Amino acid sequence: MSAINPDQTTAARLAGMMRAPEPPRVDDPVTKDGSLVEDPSVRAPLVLGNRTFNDVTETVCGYIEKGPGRWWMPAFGLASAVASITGLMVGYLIITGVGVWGLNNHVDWAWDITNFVFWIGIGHAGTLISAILCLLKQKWRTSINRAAEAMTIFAVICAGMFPGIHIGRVWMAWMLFPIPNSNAIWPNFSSPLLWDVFAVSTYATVSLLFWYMGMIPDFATLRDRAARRLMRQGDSAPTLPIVGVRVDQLRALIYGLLSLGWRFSSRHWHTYEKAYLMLAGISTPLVLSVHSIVSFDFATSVIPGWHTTIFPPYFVAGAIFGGFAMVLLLLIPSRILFPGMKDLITLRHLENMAKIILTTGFMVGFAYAMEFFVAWYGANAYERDVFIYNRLMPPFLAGEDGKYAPYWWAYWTMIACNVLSPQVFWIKSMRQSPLVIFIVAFLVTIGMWFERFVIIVTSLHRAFIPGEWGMFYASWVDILTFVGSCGTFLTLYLLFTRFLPQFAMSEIKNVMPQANPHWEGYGHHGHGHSTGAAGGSHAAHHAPQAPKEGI
Amino acid sequence: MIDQCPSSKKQGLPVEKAKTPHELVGTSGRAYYRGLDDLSGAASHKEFEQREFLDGASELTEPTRRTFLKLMGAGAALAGAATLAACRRPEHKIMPYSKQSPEDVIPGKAMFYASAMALPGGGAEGILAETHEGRPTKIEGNPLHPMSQGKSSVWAQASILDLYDPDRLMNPMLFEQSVGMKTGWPFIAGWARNAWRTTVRQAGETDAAFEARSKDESAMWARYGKPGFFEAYDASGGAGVAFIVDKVSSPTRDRVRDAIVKKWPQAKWVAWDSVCTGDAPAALAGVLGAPARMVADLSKAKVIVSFDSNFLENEASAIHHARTFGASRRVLKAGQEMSRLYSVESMFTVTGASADHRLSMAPSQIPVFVVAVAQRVLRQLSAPGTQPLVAALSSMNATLEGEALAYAEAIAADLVDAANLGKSAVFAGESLPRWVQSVVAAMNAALKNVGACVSYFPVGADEAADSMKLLADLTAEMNAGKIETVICLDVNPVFEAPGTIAFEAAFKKVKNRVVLHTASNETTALATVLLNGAHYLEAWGDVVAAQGATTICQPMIAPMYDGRSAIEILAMIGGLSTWSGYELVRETWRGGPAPKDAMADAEFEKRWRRALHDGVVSGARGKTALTALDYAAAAKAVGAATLNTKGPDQTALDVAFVAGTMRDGRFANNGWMQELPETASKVVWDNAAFVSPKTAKALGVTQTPATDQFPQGRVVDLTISGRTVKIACWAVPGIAENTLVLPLGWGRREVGLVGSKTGFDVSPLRDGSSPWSLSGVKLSLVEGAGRWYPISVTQSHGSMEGRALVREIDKPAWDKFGGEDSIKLQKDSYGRQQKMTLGERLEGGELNHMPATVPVYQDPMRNKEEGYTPARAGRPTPGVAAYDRHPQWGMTIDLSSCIGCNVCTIACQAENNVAIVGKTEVQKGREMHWIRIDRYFKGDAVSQNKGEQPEGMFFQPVACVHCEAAPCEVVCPVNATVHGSEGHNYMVYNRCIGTRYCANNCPYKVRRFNFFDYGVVKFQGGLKESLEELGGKTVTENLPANQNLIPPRLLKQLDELSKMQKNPNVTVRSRGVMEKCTYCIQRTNEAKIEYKLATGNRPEEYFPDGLVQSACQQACPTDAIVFGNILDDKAEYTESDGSKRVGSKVYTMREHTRSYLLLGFLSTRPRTSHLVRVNNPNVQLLTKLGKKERLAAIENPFGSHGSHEGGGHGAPHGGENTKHSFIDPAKAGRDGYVLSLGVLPGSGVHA
Repeated sequence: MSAINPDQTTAARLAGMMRAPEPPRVDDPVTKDGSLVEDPSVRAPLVLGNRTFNDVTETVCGYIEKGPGRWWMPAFGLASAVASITGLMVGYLIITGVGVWGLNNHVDWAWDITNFVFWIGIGHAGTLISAILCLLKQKWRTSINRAAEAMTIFAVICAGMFPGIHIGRVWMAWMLFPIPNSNAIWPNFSSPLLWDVFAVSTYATVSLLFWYMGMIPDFATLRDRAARRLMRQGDSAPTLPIVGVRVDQLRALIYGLLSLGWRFSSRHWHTYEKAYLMLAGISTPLVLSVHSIVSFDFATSVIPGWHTTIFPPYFVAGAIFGGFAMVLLLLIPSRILFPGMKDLITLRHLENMAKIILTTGFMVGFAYAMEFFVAWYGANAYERDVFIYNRLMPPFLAGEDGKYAPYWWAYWTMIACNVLSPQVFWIKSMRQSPLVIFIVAFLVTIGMWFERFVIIVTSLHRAFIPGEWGMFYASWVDILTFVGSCGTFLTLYLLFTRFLPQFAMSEIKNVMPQANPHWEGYGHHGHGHSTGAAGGSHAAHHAPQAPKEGI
Repeated sequence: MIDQCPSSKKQGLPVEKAKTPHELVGTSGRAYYRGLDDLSGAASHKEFEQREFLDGASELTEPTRRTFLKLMGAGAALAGAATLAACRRPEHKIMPYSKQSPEDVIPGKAMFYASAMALPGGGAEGILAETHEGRPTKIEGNPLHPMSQGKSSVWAQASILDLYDPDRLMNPMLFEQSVGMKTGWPFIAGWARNAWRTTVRQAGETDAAFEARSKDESAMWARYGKPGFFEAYDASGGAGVAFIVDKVSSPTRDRVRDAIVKKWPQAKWVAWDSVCTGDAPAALAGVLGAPARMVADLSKAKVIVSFDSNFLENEASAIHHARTFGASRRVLKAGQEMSRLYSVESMFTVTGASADHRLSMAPSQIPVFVVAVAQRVLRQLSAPGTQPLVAALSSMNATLEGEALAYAEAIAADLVDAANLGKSAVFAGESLPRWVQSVVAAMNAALKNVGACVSYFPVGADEAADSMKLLADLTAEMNAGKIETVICLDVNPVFEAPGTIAFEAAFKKVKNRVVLHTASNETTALATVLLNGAHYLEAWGDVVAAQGATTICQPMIAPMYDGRSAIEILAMIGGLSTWSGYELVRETWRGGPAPKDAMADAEFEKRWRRALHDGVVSGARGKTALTALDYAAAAKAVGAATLNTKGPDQTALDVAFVAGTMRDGRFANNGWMQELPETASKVVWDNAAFVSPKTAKALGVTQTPATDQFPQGRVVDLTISGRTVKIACWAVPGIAENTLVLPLGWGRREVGLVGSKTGFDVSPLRDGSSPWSLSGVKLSLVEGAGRWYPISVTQSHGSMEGRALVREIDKPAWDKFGGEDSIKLQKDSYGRQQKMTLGERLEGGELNHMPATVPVYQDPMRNKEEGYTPARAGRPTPGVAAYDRHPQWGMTIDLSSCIGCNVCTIACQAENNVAIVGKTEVQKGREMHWIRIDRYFKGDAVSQNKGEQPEGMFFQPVACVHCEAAPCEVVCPVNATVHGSEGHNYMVYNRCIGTRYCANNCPYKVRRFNFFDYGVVKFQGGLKESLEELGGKTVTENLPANQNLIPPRLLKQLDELSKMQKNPNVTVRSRGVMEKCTYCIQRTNEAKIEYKLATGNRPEEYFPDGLVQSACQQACPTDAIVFGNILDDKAEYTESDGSKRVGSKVYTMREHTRSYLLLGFLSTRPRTSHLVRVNNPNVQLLTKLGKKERLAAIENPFGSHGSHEGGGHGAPHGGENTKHSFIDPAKAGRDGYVLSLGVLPGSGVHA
């Protein structure tokens, strides 16, 4: 069996149709799984299983070349079916009128802007992980940043849809943009809604660039692998049914175009890293600015419950909180669904993110409390009423006057999900359990949606003049539009897992022990562990041992 | 079934249309000729002559674009008849109200014509109809009409919509077994009277067709006998004929009636009105000698007492009452006299809400209360001749207890007070028994009010007719088979007849049922001869207002469906010399039996034109008020009466019927009226059995929470003497316990699209002998699927939540603190100097306690920094603040004179093309009214939860306040709402993309979004499911199908006819755009142009005050709304009290010490300010009732803060003194309501 006459398996493997046999896991004998090591002198590894560089490449490229697994197609079908609801609902909305939603003259924004802020918030974790953690040299970010950035893009797509369709005359939406016109009428630059237009579009653009730039070396890897296979296989390379094109021809073409002529030269790397750092620097203020500006939609108004100066930091904290929850919601199932991903996304990663959830959960909890404090300290009866009688007061606690907040359940859902549920992370076993983390992340996602609902709807439904108080009830179109947007998000993410590298391979390899020239392999701490373990003979195994690299 | 559907034609159904006009009037007259054409009798001329109106005017077969254009042309021709004189000779000239002659008609510029709307039951409202190119679009009050004086009622405002109702009857039809259905006025006329018989060849008719038609008609006539149908009755003197007509006070109709009665003495004549049953005039006839109606001039009154009388809204002279009452409440100076109103009623009406003291009482107990008051009053006055009455009253056991007793004593004491003699007015509602009416009249006489504040004007025979008795008698005769022909003119007795009169069954037994009406209804559905009526804006007529002002009604437009008025039909039936309405009216005034002294002289034509122009016949014999009151007759009436002192309980409930917005049901197909909120409950599109929350709880009929998506009322069966109605209950504060209040006129069965399936018909429960109240009604809950019924309200929250929105002050406090020095420069809690009016210092001085008022929103118009201080920013001072370019528009709304009658809402709707949205959309909170009336109940939530009666009810009209620093403007991303140089907050529809951010950021929530194409698409009706089988259907099925969920392209577009109502000067908004009050900018701009053209002056230099009125202001009967240039401090005008003022009216009102800005602390600097309501309570009564808080508020109306009486800022918050009327004491005690933050030393120290 040689490379010239490969056996069937090898041929398939080389053609990218089949995965190489999985090298058996080799745990660090001291730290076992390794990622949860408690010994302060030992740094938790970021890649487990004694993986080689090639293993990483094989794992990451494998998802694209061989597909994520049999579950993908049904999942994609389902998600895209749900996504298509969006199209139907938006079409119906535009044909018929905004009245198909439950909005009214008391509550002019409800689920539309709730969904907008919710999705924009989701996007924040991506930028935070990719930009701020990059600048802070948090190496553990490397295995989650790509997915988080992808999530950002998709969340912004979902978010951007809502302001677009919520307006009464969609066909006039172009008036939002400063397009020179003969009437010399410009948009109103003092409107926070216009700031939103600029903030969100800037954010979307920068995030997209950042994401795409990070993927260029990986695209090049995919291109080269495809090209190499084609060269090796010649005419025997499998072709796609019907179209009759070789898969790898397509890959070489598409990834080739996407990789913009990347040749892995030192000069390329040099420029790339400079640019990457610069984009990280540009993105960093965006993390803070976008949600601050979104919060201005409310903070600059006069409505009690909206007119609050703490909104910008509160919104940013909330966005990071919600965004991390969404990253976890996506990555925890991914660890199960994608073979080999557990080596790259370790329990330590999850635990770190759980800690961030706990921290940011406290921040939003503090913000909730501060709102009450300010309402009390400001001694504004209108404001105080909004917090007590629009949000807080449940009917069973109502006083003799029988006053209670009709939306108390929304408020308490928010508190339970956002403030109470993360508290389980005080317990170590809880924050190390993927299942618990998943449940909490799910609750937080619900809670963050309710936070926006509470801010928007409960403030509006009973504002200054009791004569004009009214309720909001979501219509089926409201609900299905939101469900559809979740489907859209998931569809896009599934497409991402299928066709784009989910991990930044070069960055992961950078934080692997082998990348350290002084690394000596496992067992240097005297347990007689052989570096030549059953994983096959790779050059990296012979690298000298080095101080453990990790978080 | 009559097919009224215009689309029937397409389905091949026979809908014929009268193309030939009826025979020309006056054929029986002498042989004068009017021209050579006439003499020659040329066919072409004859045809022309026979047209009542010009070519094209009467050919509207269906509301299409083509017919619309024709109609417009015809209207224009009618309006500007002389402009077309060269080609066609106008037959009937109508006179515009302005000095402008029709020759000068300018396309695009409205013309006004004076006319009058006959009020149901008698009386009239003088109106001006605004017409655009010949189509009337809006009704205003006629300033020259002594009753209206430029004001109007909701019904007058809404009547314009009825004119363009697409569901109107379009053809006269006669149903005949052998020949089928026949139509066309020539045929109908020929059928009715031989004299009218003519077979005129129609234009373009072929010989064969003409022959066939003649033959056909001949056969038809033969069937009815050689003489005309009604001619047959001439011999028998009309035996077997009965007329059922509505009650109008029209000299011409009276004349025609007299002619018919003379000709047919055997015929029955029933003047029918289910709301104005004639009880009151009949009762007054007993004591005054002739049937009469009470009209009061309340501007002079000091004490007004209403016993179940909604005199501000429902009576024939309601506008007059409202206007004079408003004047008596508009106090401008401390110490100025104002009236005090006591009201005893079953449910909150606008009258009760305006009262200083209101007592809610079960209808059966109100007579007891009246007797108790009368006993005291008459005994103490001991006026000559009243002894027998006093004796008769004393024999009655009218024992009152508790609050009622205190009220009775206080009212009696106030009435007999020597200072108030001759300065009071006591009203008795028509609902009270006749003997009570006599007692009240006797009280007015004994109090020397008659001739002073109160006048009794005689009414005509029709108005005084006892409708219920006449109808009952007629029904008996119909059942006995004595009646073979019934002629119903403009009435709907089949629907309205009370349960005790089985009119419908009897009506069906009658062989010939001739029915005239403009709209299809329950009675027209049973007609054998169906005549389509003319709307009052389409017909000639005349009508007399309650105190005698007479108007000749001129048509504003040719009858759109060639309908005929009642007088024309009567003349046709009776075979009078003419059946042209025009000639009939002229005959009356030229010298018939009616008031001949007015115009019957050589200068008739001149006077006629004058009368048409003015809208009032000058010199017409007015009415002479009756003054001589026969106390003995009153005593006799009292002697025959028995007093029911047993109040209602849960097993035997009291029921009160009220005539609400629908009146007797005639407004059921009027979308504006349907969507006009009921006064107290704010229920729209339905009626309900209104009940107090406490009684509702006890009976288990409380509705689902107001926060429900679609709150539902519990459906019950109400039963008395075997009569049952099914109706949903709706609890509203302020209703007497164990009493159900049932509004009439809903639940129409045969009605157009708008009115179908709205409300419940309660007439079956009514008793003809006691049409207004019932005692001993049993309530049983309907079980099963239909036990709930969805109800829509425009306002679900009735508490002001302790917020200083409506501010009030009691008169003693006003006298004490409202003086010249009440506008104070005082330091607020932050040490700033603030100029604050009394209104701003009230209610804890909300403004006083807010942080520094540097506006968040920069004022786009501000051009000078100098002189701009935070203090000024808080309350703009005209002339000093940023806006110094004349004119600067502003508005004031005086809550003291506002009675909450809703007319501003509907006037705005008519003026500004505000759409109706339907029941479902209202419940979603999407009603479009630009000016809404917020209604709040007084009294804290705790006591109301315990089932206590509210202390009062307040209204606050709120429209866009045109903030100078408008929160909406800054947030609009596309500059669709921007500020104008004259202070308008513009709404640019073309620019609006509908982000709705402006509406969110509006603290007043006055912006209205077009969630669907409300204005452009035909209204599709209310509920999906019929409620007829309420029991058999689930609630979900009864939930409304939202027609708006159907894409607009698939909906029927607004028909051309409905479009005719629209004001051409106001854009009809499409979906997806925001709208709101514009301060009627179209009127302002028109006035400015007019002023500039007329005088050559620039409006920027000076714009005379009063040259422009907003629609709400113009309609407001109490002048509570004032609009104008707030910078104008030079104009001079005379106040209602005779005092002279300098400065435009709005300037003075805005600068008045009662003025305050709604939510002024937000620094939005509204251009509309509200004026504090001044109450005039009886302090003794308050003391007796133990109203400590109220008394404390009189001592110190400012609470512990902002008081210039030195309340002392160091005093603890939430102390005794803060418990003023608006603050819920429980809440104030718990967390302290006041806004102050005592952080700065020296705060609260006054300058």
